[in-house]
Amino acid sequence: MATILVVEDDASQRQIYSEELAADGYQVILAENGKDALARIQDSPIDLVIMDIRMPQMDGMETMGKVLGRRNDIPVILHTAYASYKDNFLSWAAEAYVVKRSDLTELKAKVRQALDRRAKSTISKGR
Amino acid sequence: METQEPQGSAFVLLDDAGRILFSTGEGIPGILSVLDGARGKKMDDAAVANGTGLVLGGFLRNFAAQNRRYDSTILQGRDRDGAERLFRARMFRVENAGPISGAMSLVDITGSSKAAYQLAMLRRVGDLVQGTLELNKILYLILTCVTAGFAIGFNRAFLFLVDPDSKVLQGRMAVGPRSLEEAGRIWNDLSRSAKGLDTFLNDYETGQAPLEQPLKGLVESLSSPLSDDTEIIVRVLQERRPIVVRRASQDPRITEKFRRIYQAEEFAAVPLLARNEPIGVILVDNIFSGHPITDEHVQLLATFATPASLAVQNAAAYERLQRQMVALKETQDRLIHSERLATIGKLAAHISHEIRNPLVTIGGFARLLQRAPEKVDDVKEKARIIVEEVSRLEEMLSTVMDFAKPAAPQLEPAELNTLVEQVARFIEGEMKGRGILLKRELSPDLPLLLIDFAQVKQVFLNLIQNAADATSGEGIIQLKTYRRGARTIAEVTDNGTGIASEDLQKIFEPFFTKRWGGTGLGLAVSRKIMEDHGGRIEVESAVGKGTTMRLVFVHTKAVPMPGIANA
Repeated sequence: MATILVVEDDASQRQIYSEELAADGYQVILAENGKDALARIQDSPIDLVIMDIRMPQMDGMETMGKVLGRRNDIPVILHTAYASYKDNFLSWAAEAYVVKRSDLTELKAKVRQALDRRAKSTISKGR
Repeated sequence: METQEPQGSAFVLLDDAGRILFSTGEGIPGILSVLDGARGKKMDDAAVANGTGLVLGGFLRNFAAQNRRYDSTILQGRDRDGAERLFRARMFRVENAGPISGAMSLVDITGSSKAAYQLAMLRRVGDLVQGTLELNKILYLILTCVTAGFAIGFNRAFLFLVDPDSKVLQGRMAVGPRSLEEAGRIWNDLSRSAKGLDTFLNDYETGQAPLEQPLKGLVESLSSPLSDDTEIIVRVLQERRPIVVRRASQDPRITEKFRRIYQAEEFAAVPLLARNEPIGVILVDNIFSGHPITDEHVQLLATFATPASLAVQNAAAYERLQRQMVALKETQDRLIHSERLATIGKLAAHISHEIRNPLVTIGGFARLLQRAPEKVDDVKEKARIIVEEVSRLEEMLSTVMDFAKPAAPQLEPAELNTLVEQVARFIEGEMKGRGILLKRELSPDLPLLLIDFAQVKQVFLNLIQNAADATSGEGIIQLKTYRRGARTIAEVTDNGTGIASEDLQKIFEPFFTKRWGGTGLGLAVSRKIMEDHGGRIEVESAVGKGTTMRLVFVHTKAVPMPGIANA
């Protein structure tokens, strides 16, 4: 079962994502800021990251950069209320860019796609 | 001036039918010989006007019709050389003198009037240098001076101005009749009314002057680039002195094009020089009367051109300035408009972002509730969060609305220290919880202020909350009140992160925020409220050291303390 790290500073939203993803059978690890996220990357077997962008101190873009610097095999999905970050070319480093909605269908679809792709590429690499 | 010129005069006796019985006089040979030749004839327009241009008929008919004993007028005529003369005509009724029923005296007042007229004209144009800045009015007046009356009295006058941008000597205005026929009619009118400069000026101001002048097309088509020195008008400007052309058809200085358009055989061109700077040219002719252009006339025109040029230059500079001002105003309007659009765009983007997060939470929890409605404790907790998020949305909307339509402050005398104390007590608990120390240093010597207590309280609270958000760890917020001259000041200083210098200008702009969940409206509203109070809000900050926000109230007169007015 895939393990997903959700990086989100809003406690209510953290709760929603964790319950929704858990209901779909994913293992969910939560981080409330960028620093927290980097620590989880170090100590947990993470398959995918869902990353909020607008967070205090270290924002989602910077955190994504550091995550990919340590583990470039982990797909990162940017998940934000701001459609405008899509214009920022740094966001192209992400596996997908999803604008937040209360309906998580799109987010879940992107998660599935990303995990499928990752599974195929790791198989072909013989892992 | 020419006041020394001898005054010619004539004396005429008339019978009751207006026939000339007798005439005598001296000094005005042309007129006298016509009068002599008309003896026994009716002194009507035809008889007397013949060869002199002196039109007496109207004056005499008026005199007879109104049955007056005495009347006087000023009449225009010409002597034998064709030069214009001006006469004072006086008419007396004679009774009981046989066939003689009237006597008329004509006095040539050309010399004295001309001098007076020239003087008046030059003075008038001199006044214009200080007075009028309306370029077209000045140009019209100049051309009127050059053509109307007998002072300079050219048939037509054309005015060209240098356009410094396009480097063209541009035909701007022309005055004069289009045809011989029109010329006769106009001169007839002129001689009857003996219009003065003031009448013409008045005509211009009351809109009776022909602004769409018939010669406008002609003067415009005579325009010439400054580089084309084959054109006589450009040459005049370069040589900076008048040129008189006697026979244009045989003059090598005149181009074929100029001759064809302009048509006058004899003309003069005089440069307009302002502070030795060539600014334009006046072109004059007597195309209809055929009167020779005398050196005296050209000299007079050149003298007249100097003050006229100054007036034109001032007015042209003013006109350019006005044009630039209009252009500036348009640019400004465009800027304001686009800035407003940008603000609306910013507002829309901001609101959509701010709304999206609470919606995600509300919708997300509602969906979770749908999935598992049976867990009562869970339902309660999620419903609580939904209610909280809805309140957050509502609060945000009301802030936006407040900003769009802030209430006018209800000013009442209040003590600033009381306000600071109230806010401090209100927020002390929260600050303690966040590990922030709230210090106070309130001056006991403050005047009462006329303020909207509730509004200023909100502003001060907002400053403290901002300060708290900027601090972390060992946060210290210092509240201070003091007096500086006519100003009373409330200050909030923190030891937080500080504001980068590039952000200092932006913090009062709507929707500028560095804080997650901030509306970006707090300081914008605060500034608006302070401005409504006639005060202002100041900021000083050093990155890494902290920020001081200052509410400055200006009081022009002290509000008396109730009960202790004499203290």
